[in-house]
Amino acid sequence: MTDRTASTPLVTVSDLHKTFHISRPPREVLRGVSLTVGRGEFVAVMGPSGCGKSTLLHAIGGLEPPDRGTVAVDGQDLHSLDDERLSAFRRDRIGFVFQRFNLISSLTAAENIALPLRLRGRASRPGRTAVMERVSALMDSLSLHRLQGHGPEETSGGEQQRVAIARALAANPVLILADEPTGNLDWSTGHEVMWLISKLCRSEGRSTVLVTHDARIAAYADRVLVMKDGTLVEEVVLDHRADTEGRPPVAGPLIARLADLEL
Amino acid sequence: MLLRWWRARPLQPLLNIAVIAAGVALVLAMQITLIGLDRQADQVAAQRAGGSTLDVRATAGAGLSAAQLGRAAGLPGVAAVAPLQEKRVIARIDPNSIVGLTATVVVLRDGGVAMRPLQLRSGRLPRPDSLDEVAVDDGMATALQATGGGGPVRVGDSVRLTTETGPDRFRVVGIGTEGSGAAGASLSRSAVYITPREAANTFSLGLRTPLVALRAKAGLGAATLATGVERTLGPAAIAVDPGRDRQAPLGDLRPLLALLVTLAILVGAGVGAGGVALSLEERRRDLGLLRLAGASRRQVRRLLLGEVGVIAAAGSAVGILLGTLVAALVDAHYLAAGLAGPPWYGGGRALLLALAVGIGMVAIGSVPLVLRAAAMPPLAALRSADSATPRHLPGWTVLVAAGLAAFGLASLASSSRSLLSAGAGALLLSLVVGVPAAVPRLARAMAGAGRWTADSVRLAAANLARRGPRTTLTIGGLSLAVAVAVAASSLVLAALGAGDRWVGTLFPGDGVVTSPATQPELVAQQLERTAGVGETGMVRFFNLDLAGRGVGFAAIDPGVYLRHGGLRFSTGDRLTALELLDSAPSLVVPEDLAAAYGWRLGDHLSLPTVDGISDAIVVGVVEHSFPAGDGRESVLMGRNVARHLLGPLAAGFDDLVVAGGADSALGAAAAGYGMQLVRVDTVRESADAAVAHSVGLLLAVAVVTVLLAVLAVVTTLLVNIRQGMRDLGLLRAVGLSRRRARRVIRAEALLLALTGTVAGIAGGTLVALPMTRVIAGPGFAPEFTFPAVAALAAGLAILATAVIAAALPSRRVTGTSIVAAVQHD
Repeated sequence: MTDRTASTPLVTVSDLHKTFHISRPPREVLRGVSLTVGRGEFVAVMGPSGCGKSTLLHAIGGLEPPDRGTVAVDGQDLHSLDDERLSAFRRDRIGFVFQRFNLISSLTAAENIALPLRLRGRASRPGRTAVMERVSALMDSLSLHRLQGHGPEETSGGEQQRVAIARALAANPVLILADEPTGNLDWSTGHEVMWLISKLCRSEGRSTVLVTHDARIAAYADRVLVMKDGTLVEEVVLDHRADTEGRPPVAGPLIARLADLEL
Repeated sequence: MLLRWWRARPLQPLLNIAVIAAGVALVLAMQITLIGLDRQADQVAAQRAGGSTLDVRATAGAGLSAAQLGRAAGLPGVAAVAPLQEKRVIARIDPNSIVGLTATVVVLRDGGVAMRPLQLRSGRLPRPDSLDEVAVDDGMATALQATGGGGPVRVGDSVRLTTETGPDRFRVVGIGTEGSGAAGASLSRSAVYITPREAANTFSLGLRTPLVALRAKAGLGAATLATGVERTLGPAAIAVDPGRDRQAPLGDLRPLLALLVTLAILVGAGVGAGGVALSLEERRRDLGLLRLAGASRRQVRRLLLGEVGVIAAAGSAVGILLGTLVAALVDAHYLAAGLAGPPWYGGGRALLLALAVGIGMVAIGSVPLVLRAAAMPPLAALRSADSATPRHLPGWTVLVAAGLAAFGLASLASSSRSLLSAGAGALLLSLVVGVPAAVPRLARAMAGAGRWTADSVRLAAANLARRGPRTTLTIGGLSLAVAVAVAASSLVLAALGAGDRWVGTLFPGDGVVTSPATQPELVAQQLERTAGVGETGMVRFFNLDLAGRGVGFAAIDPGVYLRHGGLRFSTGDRLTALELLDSAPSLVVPEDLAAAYGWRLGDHLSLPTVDGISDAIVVGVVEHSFPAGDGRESVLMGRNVARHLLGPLAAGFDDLVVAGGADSALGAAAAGYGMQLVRVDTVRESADAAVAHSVGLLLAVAVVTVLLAVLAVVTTLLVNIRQGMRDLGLLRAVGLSRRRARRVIRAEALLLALTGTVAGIAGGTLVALPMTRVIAGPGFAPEFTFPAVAALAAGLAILATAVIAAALPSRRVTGTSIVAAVQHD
């Protein structure tokens, strides 16, 4: 656990419960999950399929209302907000990156990135020039400038995911939520995407919660939370002092710890 | 965003715009046409009334005296009076001709008669100070040829009229058009118009004033004036408002038109809703992503409502343009030359209603779906649509459909109009609810029927069954549209049948000799002596006030009808009624007048006769009688009784019913008197054509609903094919050839179209049964007829559209690589 987490947590999840009633018998996917994420901290959530990690991520992002428990981001209890305020909070404070279906196919890469800015209310919406500058800066930093006028169908999977990251960062959010962002990518492209996420978050002090089942991807995080059957069963704090700039982090100790847990 | 969506999928919004445009155009065209017909009727009524607020008719044969005229003129509120003066004379061209026509000389004042301006077909009005100029009406000009002329009388010809000094020669300076001048007020259609100076000199003896037209001062109504007239003149005169009792064109069909238009709008709303639902389903993930990026429900709602708003506005604009064009075409077909048509836009109210229809179609069909889509949680929107929608229709839909159908069928046994209407509605609803439940079974049954395409059809049927909700939407909308089209066509045929059935009941024989002017009875006797001619019966038409209402009369020979059939009685004993007509002051009234004025068998109605007001008894009600020229039918009297009671008014004949031998010899003989022999078959054809004009609007509704059905098919097929791309890719990956894949798509299209069409035809037929009885009214008894040609045409149009609509996208889909198809989502 890092000292930053201990000081002022950005995310506080308390006793989260969630049951889905789609199937019979109803499926309880979260059973009293509690956790905190510090400012600027990079947390990965791991666990086998169906353990509830995506549901936890959705609840943290205000997408899935819990049956019981609270989620506070930057001191705001998300699920007490009405739709209008929750949408505004999500737009301005949270960025999402998903495994697929991340981009609107009828919009160009630049337009997809600009979406959170354009969706702002009239009072807080930046001008056209400011939007263009922000989009351009993000595209430059993610090496996307040549895709400016291209649609998602004309770009590769890695490029699409980089556009999605740029969109998640567009509104300068305090929290990035990523659900299997490399699930559809090869290892090399996946590494590139993860390196970008960790670099951009660390350099700008953003918190990140990442859901993955791949230990090599989770190894980018400061802390790994392990879930099983809707509860957190383990916490692994990673040491990145031995990491080499531009190369994947050392995943060996994490893999060994997970092996011990027999997940 | 909207523009991007539309650029990516342009067909969907275009189809929705087309659906709304069709609905708006239908309503607007219908309205403009009805407004046009109403105005035409108003204009005819205004022409008949001229400048007269109130007609005061004498009840005594001698007409109104000078003192009575003076009292009428002195009534408070009367701005002007114009007496109608007339007398009967004999007219002929050749002074040596033994045949002379009874003409009514009518005195022209201020270019008209009794405030009705005389319109001329040719020539000019006689100069007021002339002593030898006259104008004759059109019919008279034609009929006079029988009196020694080489052909119809023309401007410049001479005519001899009986005056106080004998047959004097007058120069014809103008020919009046039929129905103009004093037609509304005059007691005869065989008019010769003379000048006031001629009236004061050569025709002064025997001139009578049967009517005086009164013009009220501004702000005073006919009813107030009538009260004053009754108080002042007492029983010596009756007052008739010439503007009263205007017939609304298509009166019988208006409720039906309203019903069908409502159904067409509902069909359009349904088809539009289908399009919007499919389009929202296609963009489900986009909407989820928007919400994920921070768009609130309100923002998404605003975006989607903006989209349907733009579609509604564009559809309404196109619809208004189309409706105006269609109305212009219809008006050109319907409106008689010389009469004012409707304003090009149909008026503010018509425009507003059409716009309301466009907005209503969107509000009914699309807005609820948009609100639902906007309220969808972001995660739900991101999930696959297939996993989010139920695959099977709930069982209660079958029960509801069965219940509705049972109620609809049971209502057929009822004679109540409202119950029958509710039954028709229930049958339509049962179709919408019930057909989709039966679709998968029907599709499987079809799959088993054909061996050569069994695999493809089976696959297609399985696809349709799997996409339950969408199939429901399509088949439901399609079958409803076809049902409305079939029902409308059936009602058109029924109306046509009802329209010409009266012909057979009016003419007991095989022909009728018609005369443009009243002919002397001597001519009838001569025509009857033509070789081969059987019995003939004279018919004399005139207008009279019956129980204070101006109605048309036809004086007939009841004996001819007794011996040769004809006239279908709905109330009263036929034999007794015809015998009474021949012997006592009695009347047979048509159903339409009986219903309009509440006349019943045994009623005593006051009739102005030569001896003053006397009573005539209603001895029967017939389904149909002769047309009276005012959109209604004539009251029947026996000729002998009419001549006795009404004097010269009922003398002579206008038509001669021929009970046998209506052949070329009779035709030639009739032509010699300026008359024309018309075969009953020709009359029937004319009646058919007239009814076809009236029910043309129903056909327009049928065409629009078929168009909507076609649009529904196209919309669904396009989306089905797009969304089935992944499934097809998987099938191809496991060995389905391109050709067979195309066959599956084609089979799916045909199954959709066929099921919807068959169900629609069956449903439409069922719905038409009660509706045929709902539209029946006095004198209008349509019988159910299956519209085989219309059903076949609608079916073929929809099947052909399905095949064409499926062809191009199926080629594109099967041309796509298997990998791309499998990755498609």
